[in-house]
Amino acid sequence: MFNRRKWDLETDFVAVGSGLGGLGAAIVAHDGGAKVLVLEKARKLGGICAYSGGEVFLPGNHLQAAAGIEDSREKGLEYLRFLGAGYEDRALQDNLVDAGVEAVRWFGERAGVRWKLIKDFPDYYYPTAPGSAAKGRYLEVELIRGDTLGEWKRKVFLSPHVPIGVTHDELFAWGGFTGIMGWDFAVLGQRITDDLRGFGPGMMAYFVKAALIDRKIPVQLDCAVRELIVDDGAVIGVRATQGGKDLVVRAKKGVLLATGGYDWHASLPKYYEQLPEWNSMCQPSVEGDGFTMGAEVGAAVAAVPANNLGLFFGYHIPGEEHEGKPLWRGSWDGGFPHAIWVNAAGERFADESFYRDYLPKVRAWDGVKQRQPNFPPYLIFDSNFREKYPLGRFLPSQDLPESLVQRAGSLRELAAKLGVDGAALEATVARFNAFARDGVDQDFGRGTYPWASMMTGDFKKGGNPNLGPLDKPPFYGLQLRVVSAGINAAGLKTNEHAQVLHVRGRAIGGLYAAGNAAAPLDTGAGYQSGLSNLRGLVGGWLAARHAVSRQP
Amino acid sequence: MPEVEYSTTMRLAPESVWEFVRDMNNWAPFLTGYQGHEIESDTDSVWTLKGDVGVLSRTVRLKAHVTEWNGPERVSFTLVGLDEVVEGGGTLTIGKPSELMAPARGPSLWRRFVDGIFRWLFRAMHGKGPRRLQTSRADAASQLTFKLRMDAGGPSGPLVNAMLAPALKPAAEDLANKIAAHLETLHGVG
Ligand SMILES: Cc1cc2nc3c(=O)[nH]c(=O)nc-3n(C[C@H](O)[C@H](O)[C@H](O)COP(=O)(O)OP(=O)(O)OC[C@H]3O[C@@H](n4cnc5c(N)ncnc54)[C@H](O)[C@@H]3O)c2cc1C
Repeated sequence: MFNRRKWDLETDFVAVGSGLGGLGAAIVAHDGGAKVLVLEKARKLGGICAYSGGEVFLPGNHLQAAAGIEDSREKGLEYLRFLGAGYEDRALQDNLVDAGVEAVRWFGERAGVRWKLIKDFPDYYYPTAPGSAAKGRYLEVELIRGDTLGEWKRKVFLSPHVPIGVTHDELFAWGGFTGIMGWDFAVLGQRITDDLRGFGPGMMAYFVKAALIDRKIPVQLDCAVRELIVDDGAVIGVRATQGGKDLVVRAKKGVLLATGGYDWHASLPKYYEQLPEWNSMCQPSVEGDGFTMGAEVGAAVAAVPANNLGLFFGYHIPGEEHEGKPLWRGSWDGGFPHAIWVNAAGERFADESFYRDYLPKVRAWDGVKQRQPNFPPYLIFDSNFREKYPLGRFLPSQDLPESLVQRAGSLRELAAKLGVDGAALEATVARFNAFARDGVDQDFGRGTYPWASMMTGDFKKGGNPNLGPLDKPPFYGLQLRVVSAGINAAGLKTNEHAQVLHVRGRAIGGLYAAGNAAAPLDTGAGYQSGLSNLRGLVGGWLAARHAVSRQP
Repeated sequence: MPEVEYSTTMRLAPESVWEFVRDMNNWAPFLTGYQGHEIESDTDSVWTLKGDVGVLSRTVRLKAHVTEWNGPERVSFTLVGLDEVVEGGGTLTIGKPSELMAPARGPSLWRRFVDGIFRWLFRAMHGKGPRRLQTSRADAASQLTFKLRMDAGGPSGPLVNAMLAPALKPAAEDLANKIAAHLETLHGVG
């Protein structure tokens, strides 16, 4: 038995991690009467949630009805079942909608989170999937002032990946991601000066305010939980390290692992994600610690097919860093007009505007040659693209660094520089240009999903928003790399109360997991933006509610 | 356009400060995020700095060109981004302190100790002692003012400027304070 005299701190509920899972649970447990402590390994709060787009996907949410948008639990679940494709655990999936609706409303009414609907934003698979909806299922937050966080305002992550002082509605009205030249940069500049936050950083500002400012919930930063303390088969506390010293905390009612996935773990991505490399957009503190600590106390690990979760391709611009590590940026540019993705054989292999289509195809295996022929992909674009669209942070007028992008007068020359089959690339581009002229991609149907077109299309140009020929030299190209958004295939197996399950099937007393620390059996074999944040929120909500009523 | 100004005072004669400040190579390493610099001519150099732009840190190369060399009062220079659409400039001005300073004291025992350590370290690193600058009078005092402005161009200029602005003030403070601390240590005052 653990020597009880060794506790440095005693509390009821310990939330490990400060994303939506950790902070949400802390707020709920606090309001349920529990004494709560949040331990965060990074030097700032907010986790990947604060790096994110801040979209929360929730069919049947309370704001839909108010906006006169028809939806239902059944229709929402029909869509989620389509995504899960049989790999989902139905009870857990039902929770996403049932507990999700309850939790989102509660955080709005009781914790001051000012949710709003993202206007006219369709489900990924609308209109083809059963139960899919044209609008009304994505929530984000209204802008919030950094000043409301008082002394914590510089201790909450902002995101290097998303625009910050703005809402989705404003961005789409300004022309979306292809229309960056139409963005109101004066307004954006002023919003940054005024420290107005939206997207993921805004969302997490609300949760930090609710937890730390309004409820004065104690938080330790730079405090990594290393080990779960177990007594008689149940978790009764944690051992953390902070500034080289041990911090041993008793948790009378429960410990929640809301530590995110394993993006920065040295080997787990290779074992579970079926790609030869793994780079991450996330903070380097997300190293699969929950996975390790759970396994150490006998937790079951579960995984869904890695094929179609939230993953991107992207690149690293030499010289860019965050949190002392290289910054990896996601690339959506392949779906913009005047751009394609090809494999080393010089062939297109998917609808570049719709990452649901290209993710499984980039993992496709050639069993004769024993390799993944579509990996790595190459982004190819022409001077039409350069004149109109940004490449990541590089606006049309800005030079592209030679260390990142190759440039050549002809496609053949470009192919040689990239190590791609030149004759095939010429043929591929000629075929694509014909599709662009007709406005129909006969091979992969690019531009047919309204969601994909909103994200990567150009609506101002007329015709198919995702098609435009590559016919103006010089041509440009770069090899893309795997860039993860932290949404992993494997995690700790949990039940409908977010309790972690032992390999023998029983729930491990006092141990909970939420968000990416938990196996994505609630979503199954598919993904839809906003589900990852929802998983964190719902897992934290369930864990806190169960733990506060638990008798230690 | 983000522009900041920061002043600090030193117990040194303006001439002593000028002798140091007149040569950019002396203080370039004190720039926030300094990674290296290359001298191109008497008036031109390229600074490589690693700085925070909003949320991420980025390595930038800036070409510095001295436009005014007005000893012992002022060095002015312009800056142009080599990889980014950004330009700016700055001035280091040396003058008499605007406010009365506390009466000067001789170096304390502690200060002499620190000074000794510093000289020893300098020698260990460079194989020679630091260049002794013109010795300051006990009642000497100067004010060093660093003015810095940066302006991002292109359509996204207003956005980049808003992200740059919070970094400028600490950068100006950092440079002025490091020059002051370095010189005071070198001269055994402070
Ligand atoms: C650019 C980008 C955009 C995205 N956009 C969206 C979106 O719009 N909608 C959506 O649903 N999803 C989005 N995602 C994904 C989503 O945000 C994440 O998957 C989600 O935030 C995971 O939440 P979480 O609760 O699991 O924990 P996280 O937010 O990952 O938080 C985990 C926290 O635990 C801490 N931690 C780890 N180990 C320890 C330890 N040992 N001790 C203490 N603390 C520890 C970490 O430092 C971190 O702060 C996006 C991701 C990225 C990168």
